[in-house]
Amino acid sequence: MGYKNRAYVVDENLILSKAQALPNAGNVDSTNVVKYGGNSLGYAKIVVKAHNAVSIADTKALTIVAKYGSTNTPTDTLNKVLYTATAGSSGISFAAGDTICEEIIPDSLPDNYKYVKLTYTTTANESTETVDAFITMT
Amino acid sequence: MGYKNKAYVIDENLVLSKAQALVGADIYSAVVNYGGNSLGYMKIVVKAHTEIVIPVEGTFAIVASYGNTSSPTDTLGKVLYEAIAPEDDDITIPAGETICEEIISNSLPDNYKYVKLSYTTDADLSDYKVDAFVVMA
Repeated sequence: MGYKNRAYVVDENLILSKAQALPNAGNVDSTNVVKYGGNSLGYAKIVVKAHNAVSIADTKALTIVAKYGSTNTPTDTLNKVLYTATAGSSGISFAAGDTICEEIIPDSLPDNYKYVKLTYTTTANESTETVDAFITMT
Repeated sequence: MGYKNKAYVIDENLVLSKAQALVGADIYSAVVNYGGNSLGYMKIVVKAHTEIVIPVEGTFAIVASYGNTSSPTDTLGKVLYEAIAPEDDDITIPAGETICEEIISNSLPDNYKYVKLSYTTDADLSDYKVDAFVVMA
């Protein structure tokens, strides 16, 4: 069933991806590394939405990982995967505007972690499909 | 670097795993009724009760499932923790260390009230134990 599709006020400085195309059977980082300030006490979250319709075909996969760190080249994934799914015979479809995943940034991260980026990985050519991603208040 | 090892006051009714041994390939925690619609104020914490050693090329994963019954199934496509030990080294998690945390999303369906964890491994981790609970964030 997944997440409710809530609307958010988005700060332009906290945008990770704005209508960013998914990769062609590979991986790509979010357009932006966002400095969210760090130590957000569980009050900030990452939201990834389908900008246009996103369809994953049978046996193909989409994976989204967040990387945190103290510099603008963050690398710590916390061994967590925000979203991963391999489509079955009926595929996976997100309508434009659907929430693909959310992650409330943990309140137990090291105090010097201030930066985050996303990495999108696909196993098929999804380059005609686009996503929006941003940090927002919970 | 991972999470800070904070201490928590734990409600016995919100315990998912209490020194639960990692016996088998697919292990399930207790199911907890956390009330639902927790507005981002509750989180799942998983800690190593004993030292845990994931052997060379072994895998260990933790997934939460949410739902509106005591048999929750919706994983949201999320993996709370996934580690694959390299071919030349173990992964060692000391006793008491936080393995993963997940602040329960404030965008879940309103009727989602239950959560459980699934621990999956392809290695023999039967000597090791975990603690897991739902606590205020």
